[in-house]
Amino acid sequence: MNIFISVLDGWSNYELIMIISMIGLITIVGILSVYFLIKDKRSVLFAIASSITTNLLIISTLFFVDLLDVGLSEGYSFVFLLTATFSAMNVTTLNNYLIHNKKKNEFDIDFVTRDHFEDSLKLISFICLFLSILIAFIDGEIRNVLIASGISSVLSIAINHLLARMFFKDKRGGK
Amino acid sequence: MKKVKIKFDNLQIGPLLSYLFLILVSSLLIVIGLISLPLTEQIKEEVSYNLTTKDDLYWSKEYILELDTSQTLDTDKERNIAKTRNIIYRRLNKAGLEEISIYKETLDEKDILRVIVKTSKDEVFVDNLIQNRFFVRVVIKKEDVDFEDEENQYAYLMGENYNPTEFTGSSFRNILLTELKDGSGEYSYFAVFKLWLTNEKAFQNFLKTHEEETIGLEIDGFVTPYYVPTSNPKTFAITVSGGEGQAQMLNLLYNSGEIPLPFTTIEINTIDVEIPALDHIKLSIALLTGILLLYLILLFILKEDPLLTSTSLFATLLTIAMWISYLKLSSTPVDTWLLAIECIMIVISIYLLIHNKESQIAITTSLVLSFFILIILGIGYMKIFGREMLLVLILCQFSIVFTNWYLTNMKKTLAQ
Repeated sequence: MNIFISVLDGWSNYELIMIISMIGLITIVGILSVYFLIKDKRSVLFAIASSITTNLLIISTLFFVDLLDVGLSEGYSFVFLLTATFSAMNVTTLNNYLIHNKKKNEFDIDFVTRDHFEDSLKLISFICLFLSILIAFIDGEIRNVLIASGISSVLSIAINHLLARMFFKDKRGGK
Repeated sequence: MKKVKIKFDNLQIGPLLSYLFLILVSSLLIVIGLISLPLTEQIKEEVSYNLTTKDDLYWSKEYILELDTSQTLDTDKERNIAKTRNIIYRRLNKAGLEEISIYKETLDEKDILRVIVKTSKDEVFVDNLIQNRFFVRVVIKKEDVDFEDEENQYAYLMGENYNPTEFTGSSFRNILLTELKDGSGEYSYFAVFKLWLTNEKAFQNFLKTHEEETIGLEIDGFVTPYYVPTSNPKTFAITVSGGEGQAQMLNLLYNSGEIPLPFTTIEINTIDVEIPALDHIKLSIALLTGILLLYLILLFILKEDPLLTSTSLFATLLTIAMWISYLKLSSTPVDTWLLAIECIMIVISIYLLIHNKESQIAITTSLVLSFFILIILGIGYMKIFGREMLLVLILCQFSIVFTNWYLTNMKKTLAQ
């Protein structure tokens, strides 16, 4: 609970309100864009579940960093920014496959999840490759921020894929 | 002398112009690429293409502010301290400071706010934002005070020579800092006070009562006199001395809220700044190698579509080159590590935008909205990241359209 207590002590109300509204609004924008793009109940539920798990994962990462006694500074806001962006990108690719496949006569959800899996692997490779380049050249606090962001981004993509398998597990897609 | 006639009969002007245009565009691309390269800045001393980093601009200070809670009821004390803390934070955040922390503490039974900042912004500007309470109120002259007294020539500037009125900073909805023509026809900055609808009538009546008299605007004990004109409806606008920088600072001080508690700065300490050591030349080379390696893997191991892959690679390199060239030419100070993160975002965004054509509009719209939210609600680096990524996203979109046009035309021209 230390992190939550230090958040309440160290942050002003203004800061808390701004951060909570920012996360809330970005999440709503993400979910609404999925709704307007696909208009499919399961995709919207998947986007909501992905947003919740991503935010929980970010909190857990920050909690873990705090346990290591590294000291949470403003630079750690990038853990949120990077993880949320990569997770949103991953959700978007799945939606793109859904749209693309729905246009075909024979809709195969297995094909979609397989494509999404390949894409998730690519995204994870992109993140690992580039963050490791940065980590090799940057030291100090930013290096820790990048390591934390990289781990939580990779985990969020993996969780997204598991969620996708859960939400789209039957053979037939549709509303 | 024999005249030479040039025949244009068989010359096709259209393709020739198109060819010349492509050569011109290609030259421009080479120039952009060269400017953006890390070692170009060392080729010629006369023309500088240096990347301006924030490394030398950063400074950090700790300000200890002692709050005067003696005039506050015990029930309101905590609320007023929290409000003071929020308003100082809001001022600094609106000013775009990179790192801000404000802690509430008690020292020898005194209520203290410990403000720690780390920023590349102007030091005097930040000092003013933290150390001024900026309590605004409209005042009227005390009847027994003589402003013409030669022994006290500055009497008209002192708050103690005025009586307060019911109108304070919170009576105004917004105080607009804008450039307007003054009496001599020159442009000066004015602070135009805009009222809440509920106070409009009372304030207009107040000004009418003091028509053709001098009233004043008191800020932290010092008064700016204001002559009330006879015109109707009356606007309350005070001249602001200084240029754009002063106007920007006053805008933040006027419009970030009314600090309820008086305070004094009891200590200012300079803090050593820790800047991540980063060799941007080595990093650029590593990033470039990483991008090329990634695309080689996509092309030869993952067997991706060569046309899409080459378009994606070209658009990525073009966007990064344009972004770095813009930063170099405009001498915009950058955090090198943030620039590196932005380059990574460019690589991934362009790949996704090109490979997800069906949802390209949706991706762009949701990203634009998200970055706008970051600019409006973000704090510290988030705000900077949102602002820069919005520009980067525009460049990404332009690059994708341009790359498609350029590669198609290039292919056509080479095939002829």
